[in-house]
Amino acid sequence: MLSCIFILDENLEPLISKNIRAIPNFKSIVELFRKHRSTNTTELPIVSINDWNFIQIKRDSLIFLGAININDYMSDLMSMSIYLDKFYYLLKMHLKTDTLNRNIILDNILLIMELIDESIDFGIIQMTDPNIIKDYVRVKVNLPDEDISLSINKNQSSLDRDNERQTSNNYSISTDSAHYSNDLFNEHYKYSKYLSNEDDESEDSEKETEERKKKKKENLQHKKYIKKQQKLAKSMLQTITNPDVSKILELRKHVNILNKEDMKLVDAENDENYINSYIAKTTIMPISWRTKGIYYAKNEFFLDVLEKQEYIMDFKNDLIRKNLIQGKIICRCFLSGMPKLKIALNKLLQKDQQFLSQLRFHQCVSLETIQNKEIEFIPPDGEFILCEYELKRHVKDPPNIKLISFEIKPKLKKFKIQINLSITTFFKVQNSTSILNLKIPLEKLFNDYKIDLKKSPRFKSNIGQVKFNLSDDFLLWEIGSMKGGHGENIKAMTAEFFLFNEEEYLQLQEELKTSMNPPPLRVGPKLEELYEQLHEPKTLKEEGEQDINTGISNHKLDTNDNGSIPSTGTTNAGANIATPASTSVVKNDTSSNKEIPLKKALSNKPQYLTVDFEIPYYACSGLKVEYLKIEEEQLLYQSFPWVRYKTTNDKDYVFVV
Amino acid sequence: MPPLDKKIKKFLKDSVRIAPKISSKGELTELRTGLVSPYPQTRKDAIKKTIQQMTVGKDVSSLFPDVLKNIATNDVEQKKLVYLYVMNYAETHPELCILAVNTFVTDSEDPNPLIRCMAVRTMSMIRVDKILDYLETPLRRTLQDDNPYVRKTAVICVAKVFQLDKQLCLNLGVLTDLVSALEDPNPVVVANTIASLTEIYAMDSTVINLNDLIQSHVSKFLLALNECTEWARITILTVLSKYSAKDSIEAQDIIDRVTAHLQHVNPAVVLATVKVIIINLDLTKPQINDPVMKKLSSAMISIMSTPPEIQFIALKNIRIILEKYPELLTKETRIFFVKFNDPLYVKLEKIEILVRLVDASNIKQCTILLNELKEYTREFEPEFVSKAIQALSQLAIKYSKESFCNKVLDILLELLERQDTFKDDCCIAISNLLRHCPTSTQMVTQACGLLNTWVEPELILNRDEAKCNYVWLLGQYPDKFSSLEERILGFVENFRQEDPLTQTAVLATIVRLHTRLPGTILQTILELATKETIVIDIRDMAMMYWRCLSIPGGDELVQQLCNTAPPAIDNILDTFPPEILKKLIQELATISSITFRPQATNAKKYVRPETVVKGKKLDELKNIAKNEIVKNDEVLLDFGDDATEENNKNTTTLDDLDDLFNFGTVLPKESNSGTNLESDFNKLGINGGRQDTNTTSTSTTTQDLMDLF
Repeated sequence: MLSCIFILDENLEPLISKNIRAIPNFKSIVELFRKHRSTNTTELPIVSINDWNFIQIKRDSLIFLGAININDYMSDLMSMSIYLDKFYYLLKMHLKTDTLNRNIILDNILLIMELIDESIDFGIIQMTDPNIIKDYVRVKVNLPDEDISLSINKNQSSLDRDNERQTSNNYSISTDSAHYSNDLFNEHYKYSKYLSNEDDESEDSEKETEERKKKKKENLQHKKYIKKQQKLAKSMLQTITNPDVSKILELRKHVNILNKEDMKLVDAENDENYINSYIAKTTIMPISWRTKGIYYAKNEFFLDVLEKQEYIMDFKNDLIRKNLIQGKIICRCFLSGMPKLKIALNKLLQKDQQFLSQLRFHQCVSLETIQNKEIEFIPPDGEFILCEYELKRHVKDPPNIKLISFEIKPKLKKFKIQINLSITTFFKVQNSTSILNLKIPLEKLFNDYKIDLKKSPRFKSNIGQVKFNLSDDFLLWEIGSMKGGHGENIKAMTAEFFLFNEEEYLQLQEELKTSMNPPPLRVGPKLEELYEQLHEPKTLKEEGEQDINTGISNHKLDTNDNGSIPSTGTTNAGANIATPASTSVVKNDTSSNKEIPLKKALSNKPQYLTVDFEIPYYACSGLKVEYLKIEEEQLLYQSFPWVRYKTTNDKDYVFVV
Repeated sequence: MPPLDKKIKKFLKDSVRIAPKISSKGELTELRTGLVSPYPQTRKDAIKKTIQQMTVGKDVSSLFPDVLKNIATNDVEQKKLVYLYVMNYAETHPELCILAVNTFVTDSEDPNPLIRCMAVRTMSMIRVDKILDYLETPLRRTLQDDNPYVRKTAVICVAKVFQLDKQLCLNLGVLTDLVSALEDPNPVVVANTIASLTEIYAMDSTVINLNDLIQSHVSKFLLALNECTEWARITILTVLSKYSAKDSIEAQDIIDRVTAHLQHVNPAVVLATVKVIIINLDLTKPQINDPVMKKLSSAMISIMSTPPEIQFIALKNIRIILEKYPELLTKETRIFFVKFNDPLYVKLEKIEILVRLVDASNIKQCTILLNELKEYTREFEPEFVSKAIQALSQLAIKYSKESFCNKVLDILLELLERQDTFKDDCCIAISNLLRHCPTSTQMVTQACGLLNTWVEPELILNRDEAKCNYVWLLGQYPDKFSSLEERILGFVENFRQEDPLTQTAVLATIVRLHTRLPGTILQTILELATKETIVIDIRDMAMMYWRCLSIPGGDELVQQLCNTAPPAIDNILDTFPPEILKKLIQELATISSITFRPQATNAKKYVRPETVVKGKKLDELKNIAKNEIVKNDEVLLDFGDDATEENNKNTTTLDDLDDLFNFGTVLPKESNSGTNLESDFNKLGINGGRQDTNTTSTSTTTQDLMDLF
């Protein structure tokens, strides 16, 4: 059983150290680990050092570290590591953030200590359900933003900082904004940044945005641009005014049925801090996930069927390596009392064997009832995952978005190279995607050919727009909405790059030497310079490791950013291939020996064309909720069940080209 | 955001607040005044600030008495804070703890079960004898509490006390209470009780008979299983896996009762269930198409869709299970295909599973895997690629058709032409393949053709194993290599730097080929091997060869010795011996499932060092002892001779302590307390004595060790 828990930051500095089993001199344990890590780079989740076994779980930028004494050899590592994982989610729920970082942890040490105390006792895990624990831990969350003016300033400065980073590291030029100045470009970015942050901010942000909008308007010169901004701002306001779930959550009230013995103790003054002993009953009842006495004015139950498609296709060899559906049923429950729910799924009724064997249920589901073709459960309060399933699809089943052709066509005579690709859809005609982005890798292209970026590349597509990300070497084809079909709805895209024409170049140089005219002025950004800046060769090791990962994280961000440039602070990403010019320099260097195998390996490295999409109101497995009954025997209220479907891509939705 | 009315209320409350606020500077004097302020709000603020200071590592122990005054409150949050403070400083200020004891005891009688819980929970965590002495009544009372919530906490406290002071725990006799708690009507209490008992059993297996308890309470556990939290379920399932069913009917019953848990969302529950089922399956002897097997396989797949760290543990466990039921997951190979964003450690484990998983009679599957592995060899990370290369040869040998081996060989050769970073792994893989199909001349020509192009192989290859294999190939197929002599000479020149495996191979090969090589090489190598190497085996081997060569007709003898064909290898996957496997299955999900080294449960009964309790680390003890002496010196002057003698004794003890401390031995926990002078002296005296014995015992053990060598 866990003896100590530590939370370390990325420099292995312990932020939280908690001694669970009264181990003498327990801080030396973490030192042991740090010493080990300083000499060992491998990040195995389980390491044994001297008398201690460590479980390390890396989340965000933090390491959750559990230490188990070597004599506790019978303790269950699996549950320990799952505890650490769940504890991470517990923290996220309590601190109400999406990503944890060093500062949030340091600001909330007390809260975290209490959370550890409540969730684990002497290494024996007690509970990890955030909905239940929130009744026990009443320490207030200490979040950085308090004052409006302060937060504006703060935001401003942080945005500025972001922009700086942005301009120095991350360039991407979209077809229609290629001519805008950098400034405008940043403004655009600010807004989109806001959009993505909007969740974290309170209502105050509304005021802020008003102010900001005014200010912005003065600065903006470009008409077209203003329109775009307004649209963005409007959509943002909409999202803010929409009732969001967390507020509903906050508004709910507990009916406090007080024990007699506690009555005399109730102190009106500190009712916010007073913890009713009644909550203790929940944990020891058979239904440990739901407290009694929950009350909502409006009883609603939201059920989302969310399916993720996993699809890996080796496009070159026409080989499908993976075709799976990862499904989840996510529920949000705002129901009073102790309601009993019954859900029937069409797959259960049909007794789909494959589906049945792959189902995994939340602890609230009484597993015996599954045989009766119904899922019966008393739901926990708030959000939870009712079940997860995984379905294999036949190899022949087409994916929702399919790449039909991909071709790199060099036209060496014209010193041009073309990338042609087309895609089609396979889902119901009535539906259409809400998000659809394709990321076309260019790394290999840049590696294999000498691309002349002095001549700006050209893009053409029947739908959506194409953007060129210089730092990470990919084209982003943003389509947005695309209708469903059965392979008849085909959209294509062409991108054209210019190859380096040595003859012409030399000729031009020659001309310049002799002519008296100044060299012609160039409009637009100088892509080739930016490219070189971004692609200065870095330490080789770093690239190898981080290359793939960053590719993906970038990717995810793209979609959130609402069409702006991928904003990860990718100082390490990209930079994989040196431009032709810089490699020639490198070759003279001493490090050239290392450079060559890397380049060689790169040319062999598979290129992943990834697709991001989201199709609302559609479940690709054909899963359907036949009915959803809500019964509460005592209160007999009217209730509103809502059912939604959505299909998205998994992170493994890849065409290897 | 709290609702608006509450917000307004709070605003009003804050604006009309008279209670002075505590500044965030946190100076001790300010905190002290805050802690004794007449306004409860200020006091609470001050406590919070104090604890904040404490957590950043500042020493606020001087506020101990003032903080302690705030322990008597109805505000649970404040109480928690004070408890936190007390827990942190109790060890360094054992004298002051006595002040807190009373509150703890009263709190354990509080009408609010939460407070009762907290009191007993905190009390049993403090490593100070003073506190533990008073624990008896609260612990007994809470063990019999009406509220199951309190009981479930109290049963864990027994294990805590046992860890801190075994003797005390035995004297109190709470263990019998604990055992009887197994009959508790509440399932969560039962689960915590068994967890607590398991802990105690792990610390000292003599005090309770855990196995008997499990045997007699199985029905109870099975009943409780469906009625408690996921964590409690894990505890119960773990215990069930230790139960040995009487017959196949009972085993089947257990399996039926737990099977539903295979669909639980928590992977730990799933794995614990898998363990119970597998252990009981031995008795029921199921057919391969038994529905349970199907459920097991889908459960195993379900624990694969988890975060990578958990996947890693799952993969390790799956590998053990596969060893027992190799055909369990054969249809599910695709699940284990490497995703390009898996972390390295998961990728490596997945390859291990894949080659074991694949059904050697299914050509289609083998080919798919072959292509998959081929893809992997194009990847970036060197460890991953070399694992893939190794897996390729393992797969070929598992499938064992010559044409298939040929395909693998082609892939390897292609890889070698493309890249030159993996020569080591390829060389090993190739010679494994050749050893598997020793008759295929085509393969030999192909492989040796490529290996022949390497100039100075002794420098190209890095690993001992790779070099050894290369040299072996030279000896096995000498006709396929050009300029054989040069190649071998290269190895001979480097002989001194090579590792034993290569040295052996070089020696054997030269002796084997001595008719083809100039005599000087043979002479050199024999001399090198007999004089320069430190490995006895090689020296002996060289001696033997030398003698054989020097006796009349020795050549023939040597030929006979060397030319025996090595047996063809048909499996290069490592497997566990059945004994180990059996143990590993019983220890699924524990640390041994990761290291693949079962803990010898019977052989090594580790008894923990007499634990903690009076809880002083040696350096603390030293400090306190020093302080005491300084204090005592003044007093002693009045006492006269007798006392000084004692004092001398004390200093020698101190020296002993110093010695021990500098020596860096494991810290034995010794007793000390800070108030009574007389008893202190006695205790220290005893300490000294005890520690002396300790030192001697350690020195004798080192002596023993030396003797062994």
